[in-house]
Amino acid sequence: MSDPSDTRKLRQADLWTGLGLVVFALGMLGVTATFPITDSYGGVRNVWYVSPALLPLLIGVSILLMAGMLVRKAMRDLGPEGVRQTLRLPQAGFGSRTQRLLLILGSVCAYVYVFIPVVDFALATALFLAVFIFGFHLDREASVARNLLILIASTVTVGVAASVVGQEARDAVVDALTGSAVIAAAAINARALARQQLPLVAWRKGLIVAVLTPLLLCPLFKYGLLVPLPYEGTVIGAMDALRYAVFR
Amino acid sequence: MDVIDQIGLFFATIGSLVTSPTVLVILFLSSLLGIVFGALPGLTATLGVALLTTLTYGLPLEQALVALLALYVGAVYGGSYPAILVNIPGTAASAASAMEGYPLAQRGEGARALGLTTTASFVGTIIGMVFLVTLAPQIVSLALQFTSYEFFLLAVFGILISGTLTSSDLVIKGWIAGLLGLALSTVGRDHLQFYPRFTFGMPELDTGLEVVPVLIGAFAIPQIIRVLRDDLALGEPKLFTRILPELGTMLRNAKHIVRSALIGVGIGSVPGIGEDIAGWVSYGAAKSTSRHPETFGKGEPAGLVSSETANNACIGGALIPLLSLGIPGSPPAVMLLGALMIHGVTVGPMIEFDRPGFITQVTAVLLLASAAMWVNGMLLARHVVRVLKVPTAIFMPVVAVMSVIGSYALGLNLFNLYLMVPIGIAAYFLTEWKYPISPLVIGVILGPMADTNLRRALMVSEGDMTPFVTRPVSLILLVLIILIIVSQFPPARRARRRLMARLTPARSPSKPTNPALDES
Repeated sequence: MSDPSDTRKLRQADLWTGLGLVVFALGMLGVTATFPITDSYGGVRNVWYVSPALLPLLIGVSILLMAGMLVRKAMRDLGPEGVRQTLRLPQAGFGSRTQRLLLILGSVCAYVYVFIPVVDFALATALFLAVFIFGFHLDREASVARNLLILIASTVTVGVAASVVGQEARDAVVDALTGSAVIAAAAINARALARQQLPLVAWRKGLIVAVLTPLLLCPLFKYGLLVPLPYEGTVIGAMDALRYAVFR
Repeated sequence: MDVIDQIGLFFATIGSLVTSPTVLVILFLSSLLGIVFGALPGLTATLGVALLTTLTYGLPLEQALVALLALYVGAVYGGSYPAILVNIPGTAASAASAMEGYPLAQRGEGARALGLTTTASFVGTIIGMVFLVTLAPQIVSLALQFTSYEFFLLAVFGILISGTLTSSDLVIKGWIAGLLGLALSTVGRDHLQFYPRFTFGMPELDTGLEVVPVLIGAFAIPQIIRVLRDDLALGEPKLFTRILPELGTMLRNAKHIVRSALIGVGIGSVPGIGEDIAGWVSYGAAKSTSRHPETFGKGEPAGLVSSETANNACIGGALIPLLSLGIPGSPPAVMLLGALMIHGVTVGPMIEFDRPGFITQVTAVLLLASAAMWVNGMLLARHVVRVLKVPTAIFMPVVAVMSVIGSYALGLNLFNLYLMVPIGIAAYFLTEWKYPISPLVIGVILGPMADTNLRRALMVSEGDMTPFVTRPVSLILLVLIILIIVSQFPPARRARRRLMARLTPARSPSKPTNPALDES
């Protein structure tokens, strides 16, 4: 890291992470203080050196010391004015880089925390791949923002449906909504490309990968490795029916 | 087991493996998959081993080992394809290869450069394998003398040295990463009293954090985010006809090969640092000892051979501490440790008692893996190069899906996924702020060893610390740990610089600039 502006940015980040680590270490030490140190647990009287608190205490104190050293180094390198500037709350930008990061983090989080627990795994994966691939593989800047909106809309819709609709109809409803979201994502992106008179080759490739990947992965894991998938709904149910019909 | 028995077992293992059509298919496919993984920038050997672990957990141990090692060897080698053809290293391990490989390709000698890297990688892996089979049993016998004092200090030493050597900014950040890994390892019920630590009433945390989802999160998610965020695009590779082994050039560079292999094994055996550093150090050594250093950077075969020999020799080196002490020598070896744990193999000093001949078997598999890599490289390089045309925006999301299902499939537990994502996001931000990830995962892996052995040691001595300084190996480790820490303080650094200035001759070798990626 030879560029002085990069070094300065790193030290600014160090100041924040150092402070964050101090809080983390204090929290860790606070929780560790509740562990048995010399009192008894499970009928066994403790001595300090057998205590389950021993290593966490050592770790907490070490992190606290090192975080302190990191903060000190950052403060020394930044100077008093630099420290004041750093500690002012950063302006949250919403540039293309932030949008890309938001789309990546948002789609991974939505996939894992919203779709996978309640939606058929094949459908959830198809939507995740469609949003992800269309977002980064098509007309770049515009496609990231467009697919970020598709992601937010589909996540909210499916999330609300999963919590509102009754148990007996929930599977069908959330699967139908997710399937519709895949179709909507494909249609919206195709329309956007057509408006800009861009070729549809990349869109076609993206759609093929988004649809084929779950159709290959699900049977591989379910029938090949005998791994039951996180949530088996409409599509995986159809795969089961097909398998039993063919290999009965 | 004596030497004759070991040689017998070595050939018996090779015989049994090569006569099984299933194993041969797994061997060549995994090797090819590894080369593809290495060739695609953004996909790494570590990630490859992580994803393949999921697919191999239903296989018998022997076949799983074949698949994982073949992929590991193939991926370290495969990184040289884009390094040579489009000047973008597929993995950090091949970053040094781009310095000489790309100029060669620009002169129309891309096929020659690939021939050299293929043979150099093969030779490097074989030399690493020889060191593995020779040194690992000796270290195992030595480690059998270790007690809890030594094991605790060994774990601390492993985390500390890894933190010191992998940090690209302040060394203290490497140590903090290691401590954060140790902190994560304390989650769950402790192994001596089963007291729930940091579980916050969540029964899913009682058994602690599962290693593989943590590893996948720490290695895969930051990589996916970085590649897509930076919109990494490749140039168009020049296609070529066929490649040859380039034995003449290899023989002319024999001294570079031997030196690079030794560097590779040495660096590989240090916990947590891997093929990328081996490649650069070896390249720097080749340049500084060359009679014509001015030819480096312009397509010098010696530089290419040195970097590729070293990064593949590193594999054998990384397996030495992994098998003998249970301490992984490189990031892919960390993943390999996770895979071995899933298959019920506990590596470390007891390995030859638990599974007699295991080290020899691993060595035999490594030989086959390097042979498969060489055959694939010679015959299929032309076709593999075509994967460079696949856009990162298409394959990275698929890798993300594989990481998710991989984390879930190992324990059939959604909680693993819930855990993988925050760990991955935290790891991404940590790497952005120049905290190395290897010490963190080594901390997670060695944490239980450190915790149990520290308390067991103090129990034996009833709280007395003196055995840490009265036992010879323990004392050596303690001195090394203190030296590592003290050497980072300004007075010690100034003293070291003064000493180096006195010792270094006037013509110091130029240090190559490092455009390497963050993880191998």
